[in-house]
Amino acid sequence: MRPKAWIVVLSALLAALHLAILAAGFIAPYDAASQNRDLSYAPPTHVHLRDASGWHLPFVYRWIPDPDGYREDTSTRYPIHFFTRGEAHKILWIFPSNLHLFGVDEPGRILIAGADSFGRDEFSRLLYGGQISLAVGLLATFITLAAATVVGTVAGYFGKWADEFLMALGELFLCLPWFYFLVGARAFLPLHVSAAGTFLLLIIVIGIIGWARPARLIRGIVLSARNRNYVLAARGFGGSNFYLLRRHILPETFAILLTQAALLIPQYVAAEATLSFFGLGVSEPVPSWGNMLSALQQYNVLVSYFWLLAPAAALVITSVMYWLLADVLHHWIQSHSIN
Amino acid sequence: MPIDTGSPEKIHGPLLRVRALEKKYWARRGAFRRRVPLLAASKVSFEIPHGKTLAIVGSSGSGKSTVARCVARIEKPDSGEIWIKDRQVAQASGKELMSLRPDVQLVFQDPSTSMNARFSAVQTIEEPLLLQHRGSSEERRTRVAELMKEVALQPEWMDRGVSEFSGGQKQRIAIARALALKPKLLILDEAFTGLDLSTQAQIGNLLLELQAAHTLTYLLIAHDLTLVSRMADFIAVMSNGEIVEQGIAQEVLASPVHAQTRALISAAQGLRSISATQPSS
Repeated sequence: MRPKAWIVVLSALLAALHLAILAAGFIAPYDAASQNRDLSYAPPTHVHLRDASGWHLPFVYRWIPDPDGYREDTSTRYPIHFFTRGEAHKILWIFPSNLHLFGVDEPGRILIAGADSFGRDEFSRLLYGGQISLAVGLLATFITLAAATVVGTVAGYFGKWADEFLMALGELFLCLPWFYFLVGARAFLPLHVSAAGTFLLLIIVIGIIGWARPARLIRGIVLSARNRNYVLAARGFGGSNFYLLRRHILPETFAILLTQAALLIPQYVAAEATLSFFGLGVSEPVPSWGNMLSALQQYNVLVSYFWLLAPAAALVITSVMYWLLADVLHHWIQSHSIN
Repeated sequence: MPIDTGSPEKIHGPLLRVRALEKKYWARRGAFRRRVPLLAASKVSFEIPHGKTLAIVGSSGSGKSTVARCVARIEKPDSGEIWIKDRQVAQASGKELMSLRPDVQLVFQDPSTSMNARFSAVQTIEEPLLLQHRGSSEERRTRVAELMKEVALQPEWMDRGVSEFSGGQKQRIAIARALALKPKLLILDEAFTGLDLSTQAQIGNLLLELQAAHTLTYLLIAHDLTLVSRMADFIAVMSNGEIVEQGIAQEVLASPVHAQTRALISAAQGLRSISATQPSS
């Protein structure tokens, strides 16, 4: 497959993933906080097509607790309904709705990725948690690249003492042991910070940490573009610094920004997961892929309930897709610039 | 065909006067990265009469391009005077410099690096007009079409990307762009380097025709003495940032005084004899 085709396929897959997470309220059958204490650590529900009476449309059975865990109560079939009414949610955090992509009638419960200790649907929490994790990744990447563009452009274009100062500052940022720094910084914050507050704090902190590396790349591009003959020619026609940057120099950095974004987003999603895993990120009951994984800190949970690894699978799949995209983008841009 | 620019009505005294121009760059040297000055141009003085061509020749690193960039005010000289007619441009800045820009234009060595590869021909040629706020978008397109005709390019090609043009065509686009603001002085900074011989001859003829048509004054930076002898009225030879010899082109080439001039002429003759003895493939 040609790099361009890879870019289209990967972009389409990532767009589908992001859309599904954006429409979590509609796709998830239950609310992220909706508990069912009778279904603590219930395994994924099996979807059936036939029973003793013959073939049917897809249906599920209820889980009944028994001494070995759970067994299916085969006395009642619960058909899966599509575009069904269920728990209230908000589409894009604005429009109230109770329409869900799929669901089953009460008291049946469809748990396609099992349930956690409170009997909350893992699949629904995975989608809602993705909103937090991916939003942190995307917004923090935006902050990083905006800061890196400003710093790299100032250092590369204006040079002299600004260049020396900003690049020395960048080296300092690259040297700091950030994880321990964050743990220390968290100790200075109030014990309880609201979910929205933590979310913003995470975005800002993760976003600010990573500017140094992309800033150095952008500085290099700006530095070489600044002295290109067409930039000198435009200066000779009376082009201002702002014009030269906007029209000639910054467009040169778009390719590297795109590749850096594809690399940074999974890194930052993983950073959020790491911080939340250690309890430094968004706290319960708001789900994020990191705090969902924190249940696995207990050994017996880790070895007994494999379905609770679903957020790790989501992290790996998302990261691999972004890394592949970064890789093909890098190769495509390289071959493009050579041509 | 060389054009006679010496007719009395075209001579109105010097268009460009450069006096004691100096420019140095700073480099870091040694274990302590000490800043040391590198003198790129020192006590450079010359003048070019209106409608004439002065060629600055010299080996690589002799400071030719630095002088060209200082005259074009892409670089600011450290000291000295640059007069375009009766206006001093050496230390001009801001609005004053902006108003001087249209009078002096520069054509660079390599046309493919002097134009943004993402631009079309029309975007490239209209850039000076855009930056000097000349005309509406439609008027600029009309002017670009005129300029393309003037440099023997088809105006219908104006929306093509510059990377789609050949080397010679790109240099024509660069010349059209330089002419857009109707400059008085055109600086040709090694504008023939990298072009094949027949394209060099075509571009040379085009420049001579344009000079005759618009009474343009040329500052030609070159190292090809054959081309220089054909185009230049005057020659200045540079070595280590200084002008070591200058005068009427034919006289300097016929009876060089300075060792650097003699070296350049013998090098050119050596190259010619090598190319004459090589069998054609």
